[in-house]
Amino acid sequence: METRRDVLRGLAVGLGVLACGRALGQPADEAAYVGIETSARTGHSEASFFSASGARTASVPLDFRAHGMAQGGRTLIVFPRRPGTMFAAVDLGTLEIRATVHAPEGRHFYGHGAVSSDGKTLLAPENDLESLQGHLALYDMSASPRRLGSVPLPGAGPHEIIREAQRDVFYVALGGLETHPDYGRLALNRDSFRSRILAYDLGRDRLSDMGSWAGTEGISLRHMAQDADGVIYVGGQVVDARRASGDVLWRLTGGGAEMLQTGRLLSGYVSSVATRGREALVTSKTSGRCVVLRDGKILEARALEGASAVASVAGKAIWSGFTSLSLGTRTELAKPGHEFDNHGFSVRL
Amino acid sequence: MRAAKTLCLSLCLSFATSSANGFTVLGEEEAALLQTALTTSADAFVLPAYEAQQAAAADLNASLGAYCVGEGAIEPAQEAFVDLFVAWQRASIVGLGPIMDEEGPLRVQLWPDSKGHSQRATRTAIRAGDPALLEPGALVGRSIALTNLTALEGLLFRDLAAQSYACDLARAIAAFQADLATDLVAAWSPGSGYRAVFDSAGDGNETYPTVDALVREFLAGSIVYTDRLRKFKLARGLGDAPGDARPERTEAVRSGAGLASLEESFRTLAAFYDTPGGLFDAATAMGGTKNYSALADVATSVADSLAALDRSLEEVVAADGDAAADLRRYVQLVTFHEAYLKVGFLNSIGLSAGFTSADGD
Repeated sequence: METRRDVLRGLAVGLGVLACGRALGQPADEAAYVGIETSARTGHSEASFFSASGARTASVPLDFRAHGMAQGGRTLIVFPRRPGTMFAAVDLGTLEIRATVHAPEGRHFYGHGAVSSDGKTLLAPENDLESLQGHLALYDMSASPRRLGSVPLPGAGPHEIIREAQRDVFYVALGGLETHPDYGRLALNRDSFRSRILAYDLGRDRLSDMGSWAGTEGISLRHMAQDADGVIYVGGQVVDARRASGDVLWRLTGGGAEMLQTGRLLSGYVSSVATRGREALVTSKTSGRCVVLRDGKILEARALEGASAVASVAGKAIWSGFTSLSLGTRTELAKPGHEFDNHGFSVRL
Repeated sequence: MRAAKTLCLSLCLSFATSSANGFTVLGEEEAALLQTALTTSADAFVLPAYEAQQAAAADLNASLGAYCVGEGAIEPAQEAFVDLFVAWQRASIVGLGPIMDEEGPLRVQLWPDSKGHSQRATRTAIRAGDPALLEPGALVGRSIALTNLTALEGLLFRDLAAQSYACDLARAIAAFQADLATDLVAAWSPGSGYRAVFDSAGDGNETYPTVDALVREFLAGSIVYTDRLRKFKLARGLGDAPGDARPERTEAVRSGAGLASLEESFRTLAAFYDTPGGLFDAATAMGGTKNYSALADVATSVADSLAALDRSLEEVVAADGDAAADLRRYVQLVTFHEAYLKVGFLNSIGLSAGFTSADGD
């Protein structure tokens, strides 16, 4: 006999399917930015599309908590938050999930990835759960995603990966922390880890270690972006306060690494880094600050509770905190029961 | 399960109306009210939890000490271990203060331990037989794999011979745990340095610069607690569906304390919400929801159901029958607690939740 509970459950499922279908049916033609909104109840995220003016256009529900994104041609790749084991490839024309790809047994992703300039090869940092060392997974994205293999990295905890604008040279922030999902997010080598940046030339299959530089002791380098002049801004997070100086933002040029003096603005934690021309856009959810820098100097800093995702869209900065997303004077609230998550992405259509 | 249905509907309603809260900042009066309530929660919930842990650890030291010198039986020591283990299941909902120092709560219980770190650490230590390791305080700074309750469980419930190095190592681990619990009690006792910080959130307090920040920190531990309850204590052994059960992946298989651990986890949630004059009570004076009351009732009901089971958790999961199906339903139930602790409660008192930043990345 069908109970009232069964009816309610069926109704809820039906409504969910209808809502999902409608969302999938909306093309992303006007979309310029994709944010991640995560539900407190389910822990799952949606990839939410916004126009260049900050208006919502569509959303794609996911069955995992998402983190970073990458784009290859007309495909948006949404990565799971560490230690997620599957990513989704979303068709930007139809907003259908074209494929979901699982990491091999004994591996998990780190929430980020980057695509080669021809859109065919995806590179995604991974954790090998046996050795707890980092790898760079390679996938052929030209048709159905196909794993090509992985490149072992000289250390643990790779996080964000970015590609140079003009060539297939990738930079990987090697956070240095050994973690295993069974132990939550505990850093198993907190007292001894070192973090650094790696460069990987895809065409030559050559990995270069850019080395550890002074001042990064106790700090896990996580997020980065490259500006129009090729300068890389790298943000970190204080993990071992006994060794860390407190500054967590660097500027990498041909001349080396320069630690940027941001005082207490970032509270030892950089959430995201993006660039706009020659400016760096940096957020810290810990301090609740959105910071704009040029040539390493702070131009602007403003408050936003839970400041996390940032991207440059058509020359404008989009910032989001826990519950709001702002573009210029326009503000969009997160969906009920959701928060904007760590990262956003400027999508090119 | 009528309560669960009501709970579900009321939570859905509260989320639907909570998103427009924006960035309300606590007023002075509200902040003072919540600070008082948090102090009450510290006195009436946190401190008693650590005191119970301390008392259980002391009992274990006494009974294990007697056994190791050949003056007692192993059973009292094993029972005392289970008491300590269960006491920790309550105290582990506290996710702020000194327990978060160094390697954090894993110093007390390293589980899951799928790679067998604890077993390997004790075997290595026994093989080496270093007497210096048994000296008072010698385990401080050693690997948590060697000093945690999973390591101790492995020794106590596997033919532990009296008057052996292994027994003395177990005593040393029990002593380490007793010292840790004593330090936690001291830190949370009124008048201590940490309590002075905890009791005075606001301007000039570097650790908790606002009462909002303290409220979030206080809740953060409970969010991790519900997450672990769902993912590890329940789902890890049960799997997603009938046929997926793997009893060897349940908690405390060797001591058989897995079910008691589950029961205590649900009782802990109920007690956390129902602390008289504590955080959740105070929130109602600010217009906060009373959802916590329904959540507490359901948690107690689940705990009572678990207490009525006459088999071990390992056996329940191995049978993968009706009782296991109930446990799978509890997985879903825990998500309501998670959602309330992450968002529902904070929104109801006008604060944005910030659950996405709970443990960084």
